[in-house]
Amino acid sequence: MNILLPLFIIVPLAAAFIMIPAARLSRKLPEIISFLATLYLLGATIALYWSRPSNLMLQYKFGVNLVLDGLSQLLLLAVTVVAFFVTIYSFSYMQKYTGREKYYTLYFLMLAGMAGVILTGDLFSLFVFLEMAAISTYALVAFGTQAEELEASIRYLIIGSVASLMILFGIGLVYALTGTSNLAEISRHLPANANFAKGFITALFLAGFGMKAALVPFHSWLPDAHTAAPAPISATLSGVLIKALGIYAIVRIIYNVLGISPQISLILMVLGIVSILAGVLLALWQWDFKRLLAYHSISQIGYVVLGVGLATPLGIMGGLFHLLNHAIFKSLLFLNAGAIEHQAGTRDLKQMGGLSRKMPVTAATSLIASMSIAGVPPFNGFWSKLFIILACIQAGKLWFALAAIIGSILTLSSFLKVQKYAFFEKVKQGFEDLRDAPWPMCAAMIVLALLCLLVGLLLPYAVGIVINPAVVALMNGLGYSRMILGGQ
Amino acid sequence: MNDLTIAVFAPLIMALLCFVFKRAAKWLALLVSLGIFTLAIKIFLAGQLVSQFLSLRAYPFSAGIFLAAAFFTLLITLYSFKYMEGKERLGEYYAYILITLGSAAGALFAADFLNLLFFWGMMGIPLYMLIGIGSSAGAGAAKKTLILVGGADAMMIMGIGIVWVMTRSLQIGPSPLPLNNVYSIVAFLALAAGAFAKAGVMPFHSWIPDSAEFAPASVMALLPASLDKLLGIYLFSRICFDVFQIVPNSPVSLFLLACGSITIIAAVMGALVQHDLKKLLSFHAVSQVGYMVLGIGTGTPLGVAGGIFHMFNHAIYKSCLFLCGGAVEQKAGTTDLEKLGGLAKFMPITFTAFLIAALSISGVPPFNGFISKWMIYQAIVQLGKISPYWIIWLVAAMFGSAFTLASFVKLTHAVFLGQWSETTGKTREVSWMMWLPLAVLAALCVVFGLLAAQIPLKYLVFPNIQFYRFTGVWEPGMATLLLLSGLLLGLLIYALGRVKKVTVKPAFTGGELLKEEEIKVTGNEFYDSIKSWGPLNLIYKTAEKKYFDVYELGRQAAFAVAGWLSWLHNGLLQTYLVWLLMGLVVLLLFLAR
Amino acid sequence: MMTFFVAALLLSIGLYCVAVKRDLIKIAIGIIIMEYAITLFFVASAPWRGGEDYLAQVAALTGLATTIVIVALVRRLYGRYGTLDISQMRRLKG
Repeated sequence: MNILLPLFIIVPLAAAFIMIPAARLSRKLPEIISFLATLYLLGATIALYWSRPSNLMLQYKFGVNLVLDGLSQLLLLAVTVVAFFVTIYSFSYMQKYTGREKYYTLYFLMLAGMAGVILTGDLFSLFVFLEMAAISTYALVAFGTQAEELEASIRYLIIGSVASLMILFGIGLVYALTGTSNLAEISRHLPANANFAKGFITALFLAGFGMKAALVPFHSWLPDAHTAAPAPISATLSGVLIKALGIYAIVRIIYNVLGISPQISLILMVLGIVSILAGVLLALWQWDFKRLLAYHSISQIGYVVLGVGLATPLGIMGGLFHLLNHAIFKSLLFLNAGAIEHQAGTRDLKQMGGLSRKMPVTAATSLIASMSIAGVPPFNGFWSKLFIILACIQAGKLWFALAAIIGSILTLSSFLKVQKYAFFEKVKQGFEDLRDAPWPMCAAMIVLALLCLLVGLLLPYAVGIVINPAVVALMNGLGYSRMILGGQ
Repeated sequence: MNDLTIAVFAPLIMALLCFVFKRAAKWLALLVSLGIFTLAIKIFLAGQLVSQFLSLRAYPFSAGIFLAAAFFTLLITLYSFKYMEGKERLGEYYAYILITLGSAAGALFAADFLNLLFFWGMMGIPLYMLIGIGSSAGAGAAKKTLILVGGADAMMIMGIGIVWVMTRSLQIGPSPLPLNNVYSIVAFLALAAGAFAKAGVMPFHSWIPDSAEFAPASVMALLPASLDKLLGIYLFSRICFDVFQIVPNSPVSLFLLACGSITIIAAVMGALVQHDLKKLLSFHAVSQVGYMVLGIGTGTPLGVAGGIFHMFNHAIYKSCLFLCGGAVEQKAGTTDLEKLGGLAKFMPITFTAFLIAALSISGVPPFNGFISKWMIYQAIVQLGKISPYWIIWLVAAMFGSAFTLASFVKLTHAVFLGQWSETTGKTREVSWMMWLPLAVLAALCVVFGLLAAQIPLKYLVFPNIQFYRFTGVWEPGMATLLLLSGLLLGLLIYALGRVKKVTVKPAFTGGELLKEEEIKVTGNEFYDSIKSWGPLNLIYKTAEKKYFDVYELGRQAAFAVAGWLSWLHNGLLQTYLVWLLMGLVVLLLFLAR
Repeated sequence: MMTFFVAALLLSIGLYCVAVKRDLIKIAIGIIIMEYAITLFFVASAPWRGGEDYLAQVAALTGLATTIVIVALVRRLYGRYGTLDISQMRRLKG
């Protein structure tokens, strides 16, 4: 059991390093390695759930200090599920690129970074893993090396570096203040009267990790990067990266290390609402399919932050559930966009039309994903949005609830626009003999669509097994330190 | 397995089979809807039924409405056999009909709000797909429909949340909340928005006329005309009496009466000037729902009974009208009133059914629409004892009735009477699979009219009004007077719209005598003069620019902000860095103190 | 204490460089200066935690990795756009 945790980081790292030598042996080998590695990661996560249904802590100390609790487990599940299906999808999608082994190398470096961020119990190694994941995404965004991709990448890189420096500065301050970088120990060593320093550090972390999570007004890199990256990368970035690097880090540090206060809670909620509304309004304006989806990521992340920021059990539950659901449906939507780009060669909604006749699998799965993100029952997004809005009302924040509802209506409008222009209407000229995507792409999309439906229908199980342990971990608050270190 | 669980899940599971076995889909759908109809009779006879699994609960009101819903689904599935023959994506079409039936059962039998919201929202996707399935041009209308309906469903969450916080329970009922503070009124309005969007009350009505142009007639008959009305008014009466308490002459009651009146008048005015058969019918589908809101909004037992009875009647005659429209569309190949005419000779059964339904909707005795409208009028008159505004609602209701009659005179003339048009040619009656549903519905119009007190009121309407204290004050003299004045007004307006005197003269074009058959008087311009009359002209023009459409207003507001936000994202690195740093500074100002 | 002032000064110089300059090379140098400033801060605060400062080394190393990617990207960008002016690279917006 104890070796299972480090393997979540070691396996992708090892996969990354043997990828390039392996590609010399056989052209097929990188794909086989990536399939096996992601399959292992997914299997190991499920095995973790299988073996420990309770919300026990699990830690492992060997050089770096690894901790697994309900929250990390939830994130791990999201990462491995998305990684597995995205890898299958990549087999066909990446055929048009050269240097695929480099793509898989970077991809696994990113996975190792994310797993490290999620599992580490040390603030400084969290930063190192975060940089590892971030740097590989800078390279992955620019993977096509076209002008637009390089442009998106350089802006992402510069903004990302500034944000990383903010985080690093914050970590330096924490270290200077407490003399430790162990997440569990920090809260014990924080001086009681250091409110100014604590506020300063919180602001630095909120801005820095907020940029990784793409909260408005720190979101500006996201639409460019997500549009320019290859579709499987967009799916991973939007599906899990912004959550593992951004939301997870914010939530972990605010709740379990620095402690949540009504003031921070309000700031999180305001950031959430601003992100919801600004993101969805900007999405309404878009005609580029992937850019539209990118702005919706900002908006949906806003829901997660709104729910988690409420700091009530129902709110946190809704927020974390939405995080998991968003990982599923948003990566599916990016895969849909990629399938259309792969087959029809366009991302412009105005140039598509009538694709439901030509690409039935893509059309059906994208309908399911669109309805999920818009919060239409019986799909998964309905429940998480419902919980978040109900939690707002329960907390007496009616205006926040209203804004969240308006955001939901606008999301629905935006996705119905996508459905209308891409899949309904008449088949455009030149698309008469369009075919659906190759089977690995279709298979990945179908399974993710089924997950949207199943998570929606099997709600009690999903919440009971996956979400509640994470809620407990957060509601525990500063008790985190006691859970890990023992004592009072 | 409980009967209620079967009623919900059997159609949903069978729908999945329809997606797979496309050839057998129509038979599957027919069998399932027949089975569910017999099950609905069983549930209706049982009266009370509870299912622990999923917390479903049936009582006479919901069981009665479910019976009606299953009945309409059965008839329309039968009708679709011939009507939809040869269209593409038929497997999906029948699957969506079954999903609608299953989720309608879930919404009707839901004992708590979460179930209600789940199944209620689930009806959105089949509605969207069924409207879009008709033609590639229907995508816009389908989009608008789901935005309005789905948006209203999202608003319902607000109402449910407030009720949940106030009562600490998600059960629907059993202790109604008084509408005496701002929270409960907000909750009431939010829940009513969901019901109104589904039923098509203003200002959430605009999806019905828009989708009527593109959706197949069977879909219009199934959803906006019957199932959505049944469900919308069902929910509306539940929230008016089980979740909240509407007190007669309270501000909320007045608001509802105003909503109802505006809906009646505005939609019927819209109907008068339409040139398309299905679109004209759809405006009446909006207008008639105003009567139901008017009836229930009075908050008096008689009004509620009238409103609910009108809901059943409306579902019957309006789906009959849409099915007749579909029959005409199939045989004549068009629904443009300009091109139709003289079909009575060729399609006698359709014509008779259409005539009966048209007279019912216009409130002419002895058909069913007359009885329910009469009850509503009377409830408003009764309301006069406590409220000074009753005359406004009464006038609105009567004017609406008059205009409805006027509009159906035009419609019947344009489609079935007059000269048959060259474009449609001579045609035949539709197949029995299509005329049987029409005939059954038309017969129901007559039966519900003649035996109103014996059958529908006794079994469907009165058992549902638990606090019913009907004392038998029917005041037939007053009602007849009202009715007659309504008819007279209709005639008056009808006469005003017509040429005063008729002289018969031979017609010439270019010196040649025209034969009688070549002169075609279409009915579609009967009321165009209304459009050009001073103040009304202004209103019609504004309406054409869609200034009264919440969807358009919302769209424009959203796009204005979106455009500005998009302009801010100018692609300049420095701008983005400034946002990042400004964000940090603001956070520091808030937190570091 | 002097070292902290130097670190703060370096940080503001770097920030100014990144936020105001249009030349990509200068922006890259700005980022590198900021990285040095933070590293300096780590080094300077080391006595507070008892002289244990492997953190400063790791911080400097991650900074190095970022720098490598920046340089590689800038080279590619020059090839595509024929300029190093960031305000000319505005194909993605809206």
